[in-house]
Amino acid sequence: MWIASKTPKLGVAVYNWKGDVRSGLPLEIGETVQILEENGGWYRGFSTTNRSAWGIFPACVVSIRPCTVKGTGATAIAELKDDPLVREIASVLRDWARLWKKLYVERETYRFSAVAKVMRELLSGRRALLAGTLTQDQTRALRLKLVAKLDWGNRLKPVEASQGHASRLRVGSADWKAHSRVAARPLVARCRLMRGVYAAMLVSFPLLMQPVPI
Amino acid sequence: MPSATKDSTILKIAVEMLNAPDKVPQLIEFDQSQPLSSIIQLLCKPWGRPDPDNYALQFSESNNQNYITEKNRNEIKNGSVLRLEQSPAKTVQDILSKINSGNENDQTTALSKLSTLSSDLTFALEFINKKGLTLIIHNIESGKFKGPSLKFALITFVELMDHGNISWDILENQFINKVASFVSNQSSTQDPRIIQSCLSILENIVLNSSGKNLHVEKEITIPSLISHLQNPYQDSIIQQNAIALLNAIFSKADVNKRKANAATLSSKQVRNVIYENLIGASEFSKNVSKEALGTELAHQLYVLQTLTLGLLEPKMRQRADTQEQESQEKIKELRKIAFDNDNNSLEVTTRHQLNNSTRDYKKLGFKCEIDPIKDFNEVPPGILALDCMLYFARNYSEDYRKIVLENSRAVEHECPFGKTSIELVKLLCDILHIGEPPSEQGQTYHPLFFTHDHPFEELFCICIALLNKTWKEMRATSEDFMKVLSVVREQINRALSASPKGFDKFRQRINQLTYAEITQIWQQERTNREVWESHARPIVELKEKITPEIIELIQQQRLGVLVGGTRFKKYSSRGQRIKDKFWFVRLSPNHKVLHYGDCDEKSTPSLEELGNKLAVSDIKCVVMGKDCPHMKDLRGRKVTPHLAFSLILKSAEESLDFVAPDEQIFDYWTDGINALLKEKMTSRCFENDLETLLSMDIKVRLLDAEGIDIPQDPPQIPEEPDDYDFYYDNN
Repeated sequence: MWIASKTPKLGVAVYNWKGDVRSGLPLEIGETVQILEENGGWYRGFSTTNRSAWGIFPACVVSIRPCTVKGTGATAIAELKDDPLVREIASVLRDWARLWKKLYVERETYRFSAVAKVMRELLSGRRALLAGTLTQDQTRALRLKLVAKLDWGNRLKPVEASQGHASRLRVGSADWKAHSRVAARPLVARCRLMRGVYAAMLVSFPLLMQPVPI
Repeated sequence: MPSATKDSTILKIAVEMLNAPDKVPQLIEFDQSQPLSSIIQLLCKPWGRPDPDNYALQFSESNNQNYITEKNRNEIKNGSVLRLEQSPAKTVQDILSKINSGNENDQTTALSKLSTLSSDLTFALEFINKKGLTLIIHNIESGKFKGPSLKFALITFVELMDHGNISWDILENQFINKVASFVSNQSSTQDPRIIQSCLSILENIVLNSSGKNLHVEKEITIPSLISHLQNPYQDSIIQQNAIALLNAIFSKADVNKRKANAATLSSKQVRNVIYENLIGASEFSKNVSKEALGTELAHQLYVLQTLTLGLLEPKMRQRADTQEQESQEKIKELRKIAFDNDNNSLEVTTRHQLNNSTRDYKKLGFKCEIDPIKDFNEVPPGILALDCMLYFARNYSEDYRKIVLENSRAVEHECPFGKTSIELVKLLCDILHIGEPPSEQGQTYHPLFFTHDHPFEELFCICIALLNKTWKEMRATSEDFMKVLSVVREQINRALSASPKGFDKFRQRINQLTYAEITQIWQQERTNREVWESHARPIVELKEKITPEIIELIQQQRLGVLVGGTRFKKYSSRGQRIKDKFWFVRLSPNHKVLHYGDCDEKSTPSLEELGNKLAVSDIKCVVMGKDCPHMKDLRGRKVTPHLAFSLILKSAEESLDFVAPDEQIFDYWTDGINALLKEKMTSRCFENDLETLLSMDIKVRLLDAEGIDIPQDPPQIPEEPDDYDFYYDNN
């Protein structure tokens, strides 16, 4: 018997699953799924990357994560209940990963490796935040550093178009700008939240506010 | 051999007859569906035995010589060698008659045989049924058995009781007294086996009889048991059984008795005996490691440690009572030791003192500054925490004052003594499982607990100093309390796991485990985990799945390089550099034609400016290095062939020969040409790019799975659901 989950749940696939049953939803490790109803060892839901394709999958291939839910029933939207900065980094990294590959194809060698470096720093910083082993002071410093790195990425402007390879850069540059606008919004909101901290940190750790070295 | 598999109930085995060298062993087909008695009958005939009822079959393996019964006959395997022996009934009869009426030699031989046979349940039951056990008990009690007979009788008794069919309650005090007397008797040189057996018997009586434990306690003194640890034979089984008996008495005793026991045990003299004879032994000879101590002995030491530490449980579970004078006094003493020097002026008024006391208690780092006793309301650790703090203050006054002083300046980074001490004691109780009964399997004991009168308190003293040190290293604030504790827990666990032999070693070890060291260990563990995960099956599968997309990207990038074009230095067809001459090559945007032509050092000619064309479809393959036509004959020339590549054309023996200015361009061009020809890219650059792009892609895909364990084995996919009548309709 299929029973609707009391509130929708979020799960992350911990294994790949081909989806080789009737109405199966194939899953890749790391993919996030929203669960709507359950039946014994099975869930029914959709991947958060494609909310219209519903299917069933075994409960054992996903690990349930804490989430916040807006709305009810089939139209509810569940989001991972991570720290806002942790979530922001994840969404920025996903965007950047796409653009970063473009930089590669466009042979923007310098920016390609600079962005990769910052992405790796964001990845490991995010991991440290999630591990929760840092002290408050360390956490504050790290958050500030990570926000600065996000800002650096979002500010990343097209290389001066006057140097003659403007035509080759156009696609990538436009994307960076568009992205900058999108990502700036939550960032600004967060900065406001953290303003108190910011001010305090600026006094005690002025070094952190210097431009991020590449 | 088809005959062997034809019928699974038939086994091919050999049977020999013991003590009868003239009887030729028989090879028979043993039919599991036939009763044993008829098989024995068949066996007896060729050996000329008229009385098959008096015979039985036995296994003849080194670790199993049991009688074969209808119950255990399925243990017989193809190729087994069995033995035809006297039946249990007949043997019991023989042995009993020899014990009753034989001379001393016969008696000893019979008892010796009995002691080995008794471990076989079939035989034991037969012997017990024929009143054999009663006879043995009686003869031990009355002192009829002496010397070797006594030894075998005791071993027999242990073996018979070991089967668990007979209640330990059948034993009378007289028997217990007799057995205890062998243990207490230190003078005569007794066979170690006698002492081993007696200790084991007494342990069983204490553990398994109803009420007899008190009698054993009366008969046996702890010092006499301790002396067995130092037995002249250094017999580890005696040591082990003595500790086991000690533990048994300990665990059965009531609380007061237990305290008395513990006091005796933790006395320096007794402790030293335990340490030197059991634990320290491994220190003196290098090849006796903890493992070699024997798992049973390790278990007994673990039990002893658990029972001793368990004495702290009542205190750990006792709340401090506001009315209770004793705890109030202890808190006052803490204050006195800390601030005695400040408050030596005598003319302070009572009122003043009260204000001062609140100030002092704040300095001491209590949560409740007005009435610190409330801090000890949480159990665990209850008033155990208070006792530990006082122990520290009394015995390490200097360190105590220093810690209090350092942390009473009301700055952000202070580590409040009171609050942290209470949490630390709680943590120690947890790490040492205080209040939990000993487990059946536990073998982890800490040698250092056998080296001090107050091991727990000592441990606290070292760890409170450590906590302060770690607090500073972490530059922690009060918000970080739990984080500091988690680091301290790691430090204590790691330092203890090295089994330090004493508190000095422990202090040394734990001071080496700085915060930086712990972070590094954690980092390393994370890295190891990542390495493991990158080889985990689902990740490998995912990599394989996205690799084609990534290769596609690399191809696009390479073709982009070719379309952009490259200026090459010019070489002759024999690989000679032509001075100051250059040529330019670029691929048409539709990827169909290579355009090339001469150029100067700086120019970047457009497609139209390049006069020569080569259709991609005319290229047969790309060759590299020494395989290039222009690199065939290198004698006496300075060219390095590893940057050379040639496009071999399909028509005739023609080729277009290049020397790349650097490795990257070489890699890009050879990959690009391979991509055009739908061949595999092979350059080092390709491998690097693939790895860089792939690993980033995987990391980004796994963002939401951070901190989640990937299962070692594929999850078990359940049966398909019973129905597909979903609750929600979907589009």
